[in-house]
Amino acid sequence: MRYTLWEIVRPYRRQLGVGAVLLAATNGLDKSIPWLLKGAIDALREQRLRAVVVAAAWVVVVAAALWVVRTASRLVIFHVGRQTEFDLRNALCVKLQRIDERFVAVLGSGEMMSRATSDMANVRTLVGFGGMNLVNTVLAYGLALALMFTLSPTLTLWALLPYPGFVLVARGLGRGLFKRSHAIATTTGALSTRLENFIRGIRIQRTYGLEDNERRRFSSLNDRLLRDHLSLVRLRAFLWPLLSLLTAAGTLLVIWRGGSMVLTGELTIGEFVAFNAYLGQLVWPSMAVGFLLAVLQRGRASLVRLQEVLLAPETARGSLAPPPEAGARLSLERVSYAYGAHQATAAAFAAQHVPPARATPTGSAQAANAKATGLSHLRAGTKASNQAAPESPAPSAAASTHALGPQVIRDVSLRLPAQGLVALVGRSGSGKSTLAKLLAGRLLPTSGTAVFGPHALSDLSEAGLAQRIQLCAQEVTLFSTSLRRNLLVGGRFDPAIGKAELLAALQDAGLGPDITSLPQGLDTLVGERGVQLSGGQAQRLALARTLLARAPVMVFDDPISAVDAVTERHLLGTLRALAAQHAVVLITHRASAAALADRIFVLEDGALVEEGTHGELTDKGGIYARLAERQALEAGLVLRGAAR
Amino acid sequence: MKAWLLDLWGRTQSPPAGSDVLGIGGLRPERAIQEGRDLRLLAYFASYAKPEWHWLLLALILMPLMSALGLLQPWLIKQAVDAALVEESLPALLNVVGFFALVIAGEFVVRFAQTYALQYAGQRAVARLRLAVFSHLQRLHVRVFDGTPLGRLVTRLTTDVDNLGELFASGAITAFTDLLTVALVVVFMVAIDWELSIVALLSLPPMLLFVTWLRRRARDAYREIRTKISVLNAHLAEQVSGLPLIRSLAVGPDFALEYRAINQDLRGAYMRSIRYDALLYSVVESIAAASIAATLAYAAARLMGADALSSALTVGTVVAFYEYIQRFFTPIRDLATKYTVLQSALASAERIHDLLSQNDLDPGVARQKHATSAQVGVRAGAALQPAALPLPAAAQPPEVRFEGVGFAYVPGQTTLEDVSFAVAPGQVVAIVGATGSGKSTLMSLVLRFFDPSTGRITLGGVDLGAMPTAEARAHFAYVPQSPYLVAGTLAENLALGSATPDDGAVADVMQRLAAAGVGTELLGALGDPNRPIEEGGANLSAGQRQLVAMLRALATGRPFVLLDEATASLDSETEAQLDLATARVLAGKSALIIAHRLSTIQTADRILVMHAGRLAEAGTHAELLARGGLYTALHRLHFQADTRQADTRS
Repeated sequence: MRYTLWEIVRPYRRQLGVGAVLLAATNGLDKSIPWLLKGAIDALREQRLRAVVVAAAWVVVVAAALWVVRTASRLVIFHVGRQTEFDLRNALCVKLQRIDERFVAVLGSGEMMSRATSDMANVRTLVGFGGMNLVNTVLAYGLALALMFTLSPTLTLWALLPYPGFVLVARGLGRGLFKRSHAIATTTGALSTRLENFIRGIRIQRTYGLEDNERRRFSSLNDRLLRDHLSLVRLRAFLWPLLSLLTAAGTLLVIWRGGSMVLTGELTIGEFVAFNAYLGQLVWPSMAVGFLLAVLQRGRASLVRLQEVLLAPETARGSLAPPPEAGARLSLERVSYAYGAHQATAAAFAAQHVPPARATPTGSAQAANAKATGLSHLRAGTKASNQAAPESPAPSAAASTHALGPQVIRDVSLRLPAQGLVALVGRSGSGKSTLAKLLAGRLLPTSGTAVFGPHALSDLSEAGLAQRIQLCAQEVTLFSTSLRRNLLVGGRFDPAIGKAELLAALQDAGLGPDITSLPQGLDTLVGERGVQLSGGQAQRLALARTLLARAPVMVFDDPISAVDAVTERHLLGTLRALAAQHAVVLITHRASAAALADRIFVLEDGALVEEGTHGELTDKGGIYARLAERQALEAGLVLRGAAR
Repeated sequence: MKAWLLDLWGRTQSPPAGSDVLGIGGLRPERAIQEGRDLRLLAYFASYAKPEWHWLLLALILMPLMSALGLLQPWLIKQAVDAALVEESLPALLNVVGFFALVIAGEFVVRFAQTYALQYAGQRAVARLRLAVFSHLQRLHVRVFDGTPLGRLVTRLTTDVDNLGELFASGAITAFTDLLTVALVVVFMVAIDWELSIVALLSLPPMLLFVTWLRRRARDAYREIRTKISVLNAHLAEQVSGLPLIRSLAVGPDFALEYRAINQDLRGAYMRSIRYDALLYSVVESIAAASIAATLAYAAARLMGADALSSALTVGTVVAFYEYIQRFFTPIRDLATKYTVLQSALASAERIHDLLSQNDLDPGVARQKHATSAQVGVRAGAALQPAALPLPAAAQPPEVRFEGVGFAYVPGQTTLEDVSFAVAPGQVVAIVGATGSGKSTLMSLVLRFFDPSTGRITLGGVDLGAMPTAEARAHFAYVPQSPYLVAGTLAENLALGSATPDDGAVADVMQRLAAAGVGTELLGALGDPNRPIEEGGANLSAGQRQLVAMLRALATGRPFVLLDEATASLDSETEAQLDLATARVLAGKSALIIAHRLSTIQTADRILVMHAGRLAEAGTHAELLARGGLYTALHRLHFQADTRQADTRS
């Protein structure tokens, strides 16, 4: 599935066929009215008044039939438009379950939502409204031309004289419309991301009086968006009157040549009037060409942006999901990792679908475009490298290594016990969180292997992985819903999890007292619309969630950074108890917490530099010993203070 | 099967219709549907187009001209039929052709000018509105941001403003001027033959009734769509922001299932709205055809009746009427399309208006005069030059004094109660206490994000509430727990976004950090000052982000430092380096520090122990330990592990 326009509407080809037939019927009936008019006018001129009344009666009959057929045709075709929108939305949501998380992180959630809303609407308009008008225009032209030809071949040729102009206009302006629409969508995405960040930093801006800076940042994006819009306006303002002029020019020629033919007797007045009426019936389809162009190009631009998401690289996961093997261990074998592993240098997708930057792009516009197209490169593999830019001579190899960032994890081998508490210690930026994600299979090694029992983590499916290893990430995610539901996410919505179990998990996570103070208990709403949890409370909620997941291996990324001393001790006690039956990894920079672990790994600059028990490592006198000594000194100082 | 899940979601996520409004946790009831409100809304937003009045005036003047030029064409065809073809005169025909050429050329020029003027004005007005909404956001109280989903605020400035812009782009804004065209058609028709005009327009009254009825039904469908779509988007937004969690728990399929169900609901609402769209369009077209039949029949009847009248009714008249009837009904037919655009624009206008009339303002701006929309410039230029550094601050730290301060975020649920303490100039005061004991709230009050419900806070002896907020805030260097970083370079972020990324600015930041006593080794840990930073600091680790936030706070040189768990994610070595630095930079400065690590605050001049919103104990480390109260207990717990560790070593 490449999500081309045809693939999107393919499931509805039958409905579209029915719609097309109905449109054909509509057009046929519509075109019969001028024909009846022709007879009526000629009859009127010849004083055959009864014939006029009969013709008028027929018009009424046709109008009634038209009412039914036209309603039906619009219903059928608009249905397809909404149906494809429904499908695309679902496809996007399903894609979200497999998409490379890094892709979404780089794209930004604002940009992602902008694609899921504005771009989605544009594509739907393209399919429903655009599709209907396309078919309608073709039919209207075909039928009207045929009838006009029957009336007078010569006059038809005269009337068609301005129409090559349409083709030229369509070709010339279409590309411009596409480029400008794409620029608008890109800038809108950038604006969303900026706004999101602006809102997140509101307290800092207030404190430091950064309002003007923020305004300047927003304003420059807003100006760019205005420029993008105005450049589209110029084109659109020109397009419609031009099409209108071309249509009117046809009428002009018909009055002149047709009028002359009436004078020479080649044409009756009724035929002349009917001919003119047919030409009149082409006005809307011709104008629709202009509208269609806009809708089509905007829809195409948006489709490309949707395709970027729908065809984005997916996390390379296997499909294995057998129940976890009892007593299996997690181990990393010479694992290295560098971010950007998926970023091939080729301008593949963009080069193919996105026209080059506008003629006079400003610096900032270019930067934004660069970001947008940069994202397009975040797509996997062979296709990208096959169409690599000419400067890379050996595309695939060069592309994939060139794009990698520096190695964040270097040649790490470690083997977790089946049960027990393991601490991972290191400075900020030493790669602890990255290693945690590698251990949990959230990232797959650039080189080396990560294995749980008989399976490589990369061979396991999402569910298979979740059954084995759970990560309690540093960044806490809260859903704007009840506390209960936030917890149940952790238990994968297992209906067997009862209230008692939920409360026990909260208790273990040190949230017990906090919850009992809430008026609605587990049904209390949290998040943006409900109770505001403090950073520490949110962190503990996340911890309770992980506890409910009950995986053989649980990785906790700095779970005690935002909690007070009492809670910290409680949590460490919980982890210790958990370690009796599970492999528990605790990431921390506190030696006091690490000291509780059965084994400690010290990470420095992405490499494992020390390993052992607290006692072994302090005796060794390395990095860990220094860390422990400093913290012990602090503690000692305090204790002396206490003794005094 | 997952119905209970849905039920949960439904109860919590699906807001009642019309609840898509701001207000802290407050769901406003659906307002009574008022027809007049729509017009007032449009009038309200028209003020943003005011500076474009000359463009709009041009568009307005050209409008009747454009209509008239268009409506002249059927009349010219009538002339061609009657004067030239029936009278069989070639010169008369050529005359008409010449006129026709002039008319269409004129129409082209007028149409281009009119379309351009209108859309140009429209887009500029929309950009101005966007900036005005942004400026308004800048003035809102922080609790509005706390209580409103982030995605919703972003939508106000993107999708909603775009919907208003679509009014201009689609020409729906000119829907009311279609009335002019319709009126002009009637004028032309009556001028040609008033009797035939009456016959042609007989179908008008019943049709208007029908259209009104349809419109009412359609409006309900659109309202339903509006509500459903916001539920759907909220669901997706949470999926996107919670993606790593959802994926690692492998619960994606459950979310997808829920999403699908909401999506189905939405599709149902859409399908209902389609019926009205389709019906309206086809009814109008058919009635137009019926009107043509009526004129034909009446023309025949009249010719059959009195011969005297027949001279007045020509073939050309019938032909012209055929054209005019179509031109009469076309605007009514397109009303459905324009109405859709108008409805969605009105819905957006209502939401933007709600946001703009949200007057829960930050204390810092509450007393300032409202900037009018006209003052909001659109063009990047003189008004928007890079602003001066958010400095200088007062050189001397002021005394900060809490006098019997009480506070509640939600009325009835006390967060702080009767808190009194003072931070003398140059003092370092630490606050400890369990999470939720009200520590961060103290800082929010000092910074005047909120004002106390009871008691008062003084700054250098002056009531905080009585001094300009911006002036008060300028004393404080604040580092919150979650840092705020913007896209740009590291240096730009260190300079709080006030520096442009040139070497001079980088040097300036370095100099100021050095002056503040920050060692270069800390900066080294962050890398090249010119390295790019992504929006939100996505390419830095949590610890690095906190370090940036800390360093730039110090670089401001402000005399009173507020640290809210600012070092939670830092490793102890970096923290130690910073602690040393802090000790140096805090010379001559005051500080209020919240920390969970008791070791980091033991050197404080004074330690405040918060418990359940009250100030439980206060004193120096030694005093508090000697007292053997809450702090001692806290302390014992905290350092038990470290003691054991110290024991192992000895």
